[in-house]
Amino acid sequence: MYIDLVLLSLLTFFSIWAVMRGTLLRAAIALALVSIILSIIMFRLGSALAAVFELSVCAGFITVLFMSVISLTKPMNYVETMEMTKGRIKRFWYLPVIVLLFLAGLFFLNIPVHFKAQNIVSLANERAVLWNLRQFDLFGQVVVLLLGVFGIVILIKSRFEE
Amino acid sequence: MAIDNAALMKLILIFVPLLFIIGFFCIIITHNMIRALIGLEILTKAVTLLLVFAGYITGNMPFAQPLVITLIIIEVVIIAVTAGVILNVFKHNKSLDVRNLRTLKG
Amino acid sequence: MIDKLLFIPPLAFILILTVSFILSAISSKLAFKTKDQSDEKKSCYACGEDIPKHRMQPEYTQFFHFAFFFTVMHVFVLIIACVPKLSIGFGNIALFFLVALSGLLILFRD
Repeated sequence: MYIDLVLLSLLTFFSIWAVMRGTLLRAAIALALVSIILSIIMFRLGSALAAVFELSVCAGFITVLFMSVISLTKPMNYVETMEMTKGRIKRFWYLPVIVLLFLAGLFFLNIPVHFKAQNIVSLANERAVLWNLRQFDLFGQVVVLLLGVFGIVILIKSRFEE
Repeated sequence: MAIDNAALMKLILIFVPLLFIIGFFCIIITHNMIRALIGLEILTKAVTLLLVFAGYITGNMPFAQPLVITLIIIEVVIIAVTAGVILNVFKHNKSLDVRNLRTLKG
Repeated sequence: MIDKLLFIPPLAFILILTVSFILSAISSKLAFKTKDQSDEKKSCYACGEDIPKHRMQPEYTQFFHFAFFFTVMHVFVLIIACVPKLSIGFGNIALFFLVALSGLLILFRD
């Protein structure tokens, strides 16, 4: 129980950090930390397969993609960075306040919890569900991935033609 | 794994809206395109957490996991294509500011 | 009791992290610092010519291409790795594999 509380607080803290952090590189690292903590929570809730996906894809490859995008775009020099940081703090300072207010509000609101556990099929294995029951999901996933492939090919082709 | 269900439910129902708020705030306030992408990612994390939690609480984890996997794959594709678009916009405009996109035509 | 406790991985990780942070803090306290933080001190050549500041910007576009290629391949391999032990139709897997392969070929045509 307490470890869940700690993990969820860390999740919120790192996401606030990713939003407010000055350097984009640090923000990307904070995002990777958010992914890692989320995958730990998923492991604890008993969804190992999805946690592996989250850990390897979101915390690994998406971070690499972010890094490559950040390194491809121009970093600002020191003076510009300081000015930007001041402006950002001016714009972002009330995010922790809002989060704390919402936390307090939700905590005292007493959300009604009426979910019932309903074990429809407890025999099913998630792999069998993925490959047998949800074959059309696989089809959709492949189509989405092909869409991404075509999008990237078009984008990079248009860059080369210039 | 003995987790107190009711308390965990309350906990996650408190923290998921917080993640939503952080993501929305980031997307609304920022002018940097990469940071907007980070906000989008945080929103997706909140949705992932909610889905996993729903599967856990209804006892249908094998049915929730393929959905989460689909969500993760869609997220990857969105992030990759958006990153490519951001690279092209940066090459065109020499800046990552969203406000510079208002000069676009057509 | 304690020697067993030290071998729990998260605890050991936290301990090592703490020790390295403490070491880093101590060494940064000990490090020699000057009050002179002017631009001349930080410049590359203290004597003689001034080199123009230019940042090396190699062409990373290909890297983005590769990164996306590996992401897509990774996702495909992960999905194929989830094939259950119970035998399902082989044609299903073969179809998925073919579509994945064609997507990767499109991505790496040139």
